[in-house]
Order: sequence, then structure tokens, then C-alpha cells
Amino acid sequence: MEQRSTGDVGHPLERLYAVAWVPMVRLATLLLGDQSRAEDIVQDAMIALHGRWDALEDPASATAYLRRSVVNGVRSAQRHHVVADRHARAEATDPTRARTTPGADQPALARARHDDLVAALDGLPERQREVLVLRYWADLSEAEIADSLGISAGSVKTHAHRGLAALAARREELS
Amino acid sequence: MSQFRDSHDNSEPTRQPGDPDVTDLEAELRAALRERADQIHPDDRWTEIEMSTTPSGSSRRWPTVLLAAAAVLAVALGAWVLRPTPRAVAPADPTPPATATSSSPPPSASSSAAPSQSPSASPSATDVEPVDPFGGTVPVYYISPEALGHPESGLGLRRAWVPAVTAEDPRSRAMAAIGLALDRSTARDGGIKPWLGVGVTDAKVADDGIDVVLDPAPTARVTPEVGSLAVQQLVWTAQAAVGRGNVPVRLTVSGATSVFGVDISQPFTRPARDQQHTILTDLWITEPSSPTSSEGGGGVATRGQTLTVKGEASVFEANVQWELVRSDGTVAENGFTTATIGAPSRGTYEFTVTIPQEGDDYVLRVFSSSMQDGQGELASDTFSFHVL
Repeated sequence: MEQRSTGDVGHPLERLYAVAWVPMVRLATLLLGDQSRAEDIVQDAMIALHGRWDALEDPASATAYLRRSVVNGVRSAQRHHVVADRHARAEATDPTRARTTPGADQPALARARHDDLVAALDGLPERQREVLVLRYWADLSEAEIADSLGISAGSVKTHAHRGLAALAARREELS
Repeated sequence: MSQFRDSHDNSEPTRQPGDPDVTDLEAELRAALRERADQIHPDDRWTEIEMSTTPSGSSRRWPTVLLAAAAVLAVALGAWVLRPTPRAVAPADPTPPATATSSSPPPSASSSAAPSQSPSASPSATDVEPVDPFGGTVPVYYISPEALGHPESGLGLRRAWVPAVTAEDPRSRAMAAIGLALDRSTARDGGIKPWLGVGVTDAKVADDGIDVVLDPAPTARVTPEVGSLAVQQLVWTAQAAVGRGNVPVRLTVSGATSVFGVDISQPFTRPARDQQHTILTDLWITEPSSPTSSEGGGGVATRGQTLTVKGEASVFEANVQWELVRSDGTVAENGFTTATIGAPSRGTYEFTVTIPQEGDDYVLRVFSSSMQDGQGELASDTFSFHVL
């Protein structure tokens, strides 16, 4: 729903922006915990993609290319310690976090459980977290996840299995 | 949650063997991530991306020849022809982003209409607006009810394009626009004139900001809400008239340190986009538009014409309703559309409407209704036109 109207867009990049900007920023924010930095990363990725647009073998591959760039950008930001403390910084800078007041109709218990689960997810090793976010939020196939992360399908299975096992253990502890 | 999948990849997501606990965990993880993601509302950065990918000087400015032709036709018809309003264009002297990865300034923490007073705020290309889409006009922000005709719906700023005879340099345009903003009031908008009796005596436009000198100090007694909006009214007008983005604006008012109770010792900037709902009215029609539309004037359309309507919205669930109203008050057509993002962020919307074969005068109305009873109107905007 939260997509730019595509009615009057011209360049393919603008069409891609219309459909991919919001989900890509959300993906990067889920992985990084810093919305402002996530927007920078996706913006850079789109600008880089524009420069290579003519070299794309298949325009339909633009989304996959962009996603790889975004994931790489996130990993690069993490490697360079741009985000020293993802949680603290996100809480301090992200206005959406400041008003994370879900609807009054949402049971508080489920909300707390979700918060615990996402916190546990944030504590997982990078690869496991990436695989789980790409799988359970972006709803990507195994092949797409492998392509996005530059790893084998077998590794995707392994990271997913370990990540879920860790979350299950964490949930067990909490209950 | 298939929003993110490549259109050419139809394979299913991976599945683990059906351990009930794992399945339950998977479902919960999906819900938790969706909940977290739904709370992330990215700012619009298309302008920044476009500026970084468009060769200098090739911005899609509306061709001058078309503007001239439209103006001639408008004069001939005694009204303004419905035609596209150009997209936001780069300013004549654009301030490029510091780097391609420059961060947006953090949004104001204010949850009220308090003006954003931040000398360190950097100009944002997101705030770049059309400079003069009609030729011979200046942008003027003015205070208006959220829902037209319903002062109880709250107040905010709207923008009008007002014809003005002025030189083209930024200082002249700023002075002309601010002068009009000080005196701006229309019957449609409830006649709110906090700056009554105040004039603009000077404006200095530099790369790092705009200085506006006013005299005398205002004497109107207004509520804090109106006072804050009155200050922002001049800030937004000055920035729009100059066309250099969100540059700081300093107000000097006869030696006063505050106006309407608002401290003016520091320059002002516009708040971040996701806070602009505290300043702007929630619904705007930006296309079609005309220099008289804010005063109930409008344009000319032809029978059977498909009219593209565009605007900005900060409404619940991004739900924008619209109706085409005949001169007798009956509704000829109606519908709804979805903005690019819901409140509190400010998105854009677009829809088309076909002009009926019968009838001579119509009002196009976009509005947002209360979710509680579907009756109360929270925000609206209108555009009137005559059918040939």
C-alpha cells in the first residue's frame, strides 16, 4: 500500500523507486536498526544501479541487483562499525521507534512477545539474522536469499535452521 | 508478504519440516517482523536520487513555450486551463546534497505546531518546490482550516500561487511573496490574518539563509497554535519563493525577540517531512491548479476529458476520498485512492476522473473522513472548474 504511484513515472529507475523504496528501506532498517542510515544505503544503491542500468542483462533483475547492493551496504556499514550500538541508536534517532505505540486493540501480551522475539533476532549472528529477515519478512525463496547474500542454498538452510533453533531456545527461556 | 519477491521468481520460500513448534515460531516471527516493519516510514528521497542521476541542467522544467501558450489561452478564456503542474524542479542555484549518503536531519521532537528552530538543519532537496509553475506567480503559504468550511477541524498551512508583478531575482520574489503572505486571507479560509498591519521592509538572500525584516511588530492577539503557524507561514513562503530548499530563515521584527510568543532569536527551518503534518493541512490538490484556485477560482476542462488529479496527503491509512460535485450540490462521480504513505507521514496521491458530458460547472473535492462514524470531515481541498 505504501508505494509511490506509478502513473506518471518515466525512467525505469523511477518505476523501481516507486515499488522498491519503502520495502528496501524497511529491509535495511530491520537488518541495521538505523532508519536514517538505511535510507542512505538504499539511496546509494539506487544511484549506483542507475549508473549500471544499461549493463543489466535483464531489466527484471534490477530488484535482485538492488537487494544485493542494499544487503552489501548494510554489511559494509556493520563492518565499519558505523553502527556501534544498533538498538540504542535506533531508539535515539528513529522517530518511528519513539512512537512505537501499536493500536490499543493489539493484545499487550502478543506485542511483548513480538518485541522479545525481534530482540532475540537482533542478537543472532549477522548471517542468521539476514537469512531469517529475508525469509520471514521479505518472503524470499531459498534461491533468492542465496542470491541476495552471495551464499549457497545449502548455507541458507543451515543459517535458517540455526537461527530458528536459537530463537526457539530463547523463547523457551522466556516462557 | 509477497511484496518483496522478484516478479520473475515464482519459487516458493523455503520450508522446514513441519515441526509444530517451528511452524508456530515461524508464524510468530513473520508477525513480529511485519509489526516492526510497519512502523518504519521512510522519507521520500526521490528528489535526491533524481538530482544525483540527472545531468546538470536537464531537470524536467515545464517547457516555457507551453507555459506561455497556456497563459495566452487562459487570458483568452478568462480562466486557467487544466494542465499538468510541473514536478518539483531543481532550484536555479541548486544546493546539491553534501554527499550521496548524507543523512536526513533528525526530525523535530516537537509534537505540536511549534516552529522548527534549528540553525544547524541542512537544506534538504526534499523540500525543493516548483518555483513558478504558471509564470508570473509567487508561492504564498497561508493559514487555513484542515477541512474547508470547518474551522473546528484545526488549522494548517496551504500554498497558493499568487500572480505578482516582480523582478525575477530571489530577493524581489521573496519580498513580493512575503508581502502577499502577510496580507493573505480568503473567504474560503476563514479570514485569519495574524500579520494584519505588518509590512516587509527588506529581505536578504544568501547561500546560507534568508533574512526577512518586518515592521511594525504585529499586534493581533492569537492563540499559540495560530502564532506558530504564522511564523512558519513566512518561513515556508520565503523558502519557496527563493527556491533553494530548506535554508534557514531569520525573522527580524522591529527589535522584538519574539512574535506571537514565539522566540525569533534563532533562524527557522521546515521540520522533517514526517513532522510536517504539524504544520501543513493534511490534504492538498496540487494538480490541477491555478493561480485563483485558493480563492474559489479554477480552470477550464472539456467534456469527456480525462483529468489527472494529483496531490499530497497525510491521512489515516493513506485513504483519500474524492467526489465530483455538480453546481447544484449533487455528486456526479466519486471514488477513493491510496496515498503513497499514511499519516503521520506525508505522501502523494493520484487518480483520474472523466469530465461528464453534461453540466457546466463542477467542484472536485478530495477529503478524509473520520473513521469513527464516516461522517466527520477531517481534511479537504477543492478545485473548481468550468466545462466547455
